[in-house]
Amino acid sequence: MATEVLLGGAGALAARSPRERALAGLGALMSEAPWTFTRADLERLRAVGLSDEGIVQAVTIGGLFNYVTRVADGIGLEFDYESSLPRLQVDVSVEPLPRPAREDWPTLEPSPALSLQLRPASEAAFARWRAYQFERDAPLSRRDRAVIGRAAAFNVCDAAGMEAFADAAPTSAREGALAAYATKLTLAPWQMTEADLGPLRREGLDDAGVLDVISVVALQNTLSRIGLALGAPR
Amino acid sequence: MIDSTDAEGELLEVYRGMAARPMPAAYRPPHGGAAGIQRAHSLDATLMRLAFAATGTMHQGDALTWAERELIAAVAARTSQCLY
Repeated sequence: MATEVLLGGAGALAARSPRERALAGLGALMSEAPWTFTRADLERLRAVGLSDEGIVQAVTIGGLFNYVTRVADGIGLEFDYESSLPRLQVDVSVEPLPRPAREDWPTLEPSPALSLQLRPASEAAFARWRAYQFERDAPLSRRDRAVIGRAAAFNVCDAAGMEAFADAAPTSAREGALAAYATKLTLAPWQMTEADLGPLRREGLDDAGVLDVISVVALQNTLSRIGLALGAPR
Repeated sequence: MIDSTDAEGELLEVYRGMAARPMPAAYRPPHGGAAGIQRAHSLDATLMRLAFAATGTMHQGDALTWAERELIAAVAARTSQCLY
């Protein structure tokens, strides 16, 4: 199904069922503009037959593929699966959508009916993963991690994520380099190059440190996007 | 990156655990080794275990079909112009 939709462009998508169009739309919105989510987007999923748990699962998948893509692009992975899709030709001239001003960010309205608690295995896995990424001191310090998390949350317009790292505005050249990297990997992962690692290397980060940076950026993207979707205001 | 053939200790155990998970053939690279996205995590075995534990939960439950899960993932990735 994904192959048919992606090969056929908008016409193929239009020919799919309402449920498939809704799921494809969710995937696109999770990546492109998660700050625009409203409760109507979630109701659209319910209207095509998804249960509350199904909506949470769909949002989780969209969020996790904002982790996978950032790790792949941050590290510069070569694609090594077989695929019936045509080889993607990345257009690095594409710019990310402009972000709204801070005062126009969504004010979330978390709903008990749409919570990760509906999928306890996912909730527990995310909790363990987040603790590992943000609550240790090597290779990155906790402060470094907070600086990165803040920059990533800011660039998806996630006020709650920003609040979690309220005291982590960059205050040094090192922190500026970490925030700049997190910003670019959040906004335009398709534009990442080896050169983007230069400032991190100059701050003394080895390969393990670079992986730490990339994975913290990527995880915050996932968590922020899931939070924005599930807490979407009316 | 450390491939599964060179892995030891915790990393080897994580690679083995992931290889043992049920998954469609399309998720197994033709080179027969671990996928690049898995090897990308190989400098931190704990991170690899935790990250793929979370991604593994994507497929639990029957609210969405496998094809529907793939559709969301593929569109999310393509929107970001990423092969993965």
